[in-house]
Amino acid sequence: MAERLMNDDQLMERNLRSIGAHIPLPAEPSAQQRTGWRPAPHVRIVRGPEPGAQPAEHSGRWVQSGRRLALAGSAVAAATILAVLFSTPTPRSAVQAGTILSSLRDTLHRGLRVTFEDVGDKDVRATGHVSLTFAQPFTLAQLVNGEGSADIEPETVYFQGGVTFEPDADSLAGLQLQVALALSQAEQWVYVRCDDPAPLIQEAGPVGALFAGPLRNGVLLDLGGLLESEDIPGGQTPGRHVVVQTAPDTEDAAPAAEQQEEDSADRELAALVKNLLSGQATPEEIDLFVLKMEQYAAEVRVDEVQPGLYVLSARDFSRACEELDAEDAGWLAAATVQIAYRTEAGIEWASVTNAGPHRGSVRLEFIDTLTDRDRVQRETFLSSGATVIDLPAIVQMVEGAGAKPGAADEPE
Amino acid sequence: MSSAVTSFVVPGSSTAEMTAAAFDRCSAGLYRYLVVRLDGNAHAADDLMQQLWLHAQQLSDTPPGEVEFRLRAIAKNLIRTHWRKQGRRPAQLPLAEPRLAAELARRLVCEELPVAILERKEVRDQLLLALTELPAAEQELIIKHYFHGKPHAELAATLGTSERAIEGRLYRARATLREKLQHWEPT
Repeated sequence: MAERLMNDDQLMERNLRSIGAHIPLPAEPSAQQRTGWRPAPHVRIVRGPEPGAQPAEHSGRWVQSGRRLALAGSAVAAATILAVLFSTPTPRSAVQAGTILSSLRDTLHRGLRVTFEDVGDKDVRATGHVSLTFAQPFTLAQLVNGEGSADIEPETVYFQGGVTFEPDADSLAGLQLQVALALSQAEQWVYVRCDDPAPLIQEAGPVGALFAGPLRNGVLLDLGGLLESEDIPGGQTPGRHVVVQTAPDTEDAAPAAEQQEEDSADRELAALVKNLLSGQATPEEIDLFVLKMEQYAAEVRVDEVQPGLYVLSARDFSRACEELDAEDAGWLAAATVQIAYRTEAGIEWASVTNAGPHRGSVRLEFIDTLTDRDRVQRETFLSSGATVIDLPAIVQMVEGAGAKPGAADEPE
Repeated sequence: MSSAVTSFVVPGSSTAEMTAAAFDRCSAGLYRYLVVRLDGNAHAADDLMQQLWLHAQQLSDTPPGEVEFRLRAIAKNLIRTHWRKQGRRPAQLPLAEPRLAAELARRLVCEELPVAILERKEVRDQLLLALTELPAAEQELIIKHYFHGKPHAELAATLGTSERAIEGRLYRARATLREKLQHWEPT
């Protein structure tokens, strides 16, 4: 056997010599290249157990690579954003992480504005903004925990944005949609426009062809009061009982076996985040969270950008990416998370930039009232030639005279 | 609340020097790893090597013996990100084909490989992918001996060791290469 092994190895050695003569290797890096891999000496801020070192200005280059933002439901991403709250800022900073966290979870808010640009995945990307105001002030702790969620009712929702289907989106590749929406006491409508609806028509068949013309100029679907009618499935007030979910719904169909372990870890982290936001975390949980987060954001800093306004930034999530699958890593690795905190006012906004395959960004702002920028005006679309479809009128026509939106609520 | 401490790694400190030395030891191997998987694009490989260097500075807590392992994992992610940014991978990019690699591993020790086989792109791809997966030290040894024709004596003199030790290291490097091909599990 030993002789046989020796012969095997000898044969392999001979083959390797032959391989070496026939297979070209990549060129060896030159001394100049090697020098170029290592930028000029600089000081770089990192987090680690080296107390006593003197602070210095950050001059290191941020790691540049395209990533995806993870606000869209991944507990890991949510945890990463919160990680910055627990990371000790620079010694010069007057604002402590605990203050920021406390402010984030306890401050009452009346509304939210979310602005996003180039978010999506390999199939689709979206840019736009959505603004919501609520009937009652709420705290993030309420949203996360669902405590008293019956009171957390969006009063007004405005959305405007564009969606582009990327080449990977198969039959819909190249399709561009402009969408707007308004849901309030005063108006309820949805607007859709598609300059070149060919992919949509191809996908929808003959029915799609019927809508081709109107879609080119835009279609404004006037919902009237229909969303208040319980005759229409899902017709309750939109967004009622909103609860932020940070974990997959465990009551869904059983997940595939190979995903169970991953989901379990995700749920565990989500529960941790939930407890932290709601102020229910035990000291042990906080320590555990800190330990987890120290593996993630490698660079954390706090800058006073204006008197009293502090911006906490966290970048370089490559450590997190080593533990994530490729897709999640793609969301996070080069993303920059920022949270702005104003003394005596609390969190003003939070953002994630340079994230995702399109290097997209999302910015979340707490607002008290809507501005003109938030409100989407239907007149804009009407003046550009949009076709108005009066849905209540159609419902009346179908159901017969006398059927009014919301009529089903009345006892017969 | 947090035990995290903001600190500063200043080049020139012992930790930074150790990390830099660990990076230097494996950088040529990592560069080859990148070039082979970037369709020969040396410019892109240089860019990723810069990013790897920045990552290496974050590994001050990592034992020097594990730095290369960590950097390889990071390099793998950087490559994925690179292709995601590019939109799609080029069709000619080397791809691991475990079945072909295993067959190649078998034939490496059973017969003298005909030159015609070595001229097949898919065979070259499997060999280059496996070779660049090897730890930098083993990669270097195989390349210098079999590709550059350096004799044992010269390698021994360069590395400050005996010829017998070089033979032993080459034996282990061959075994690792064969193992890589036989049980393809890209790191």
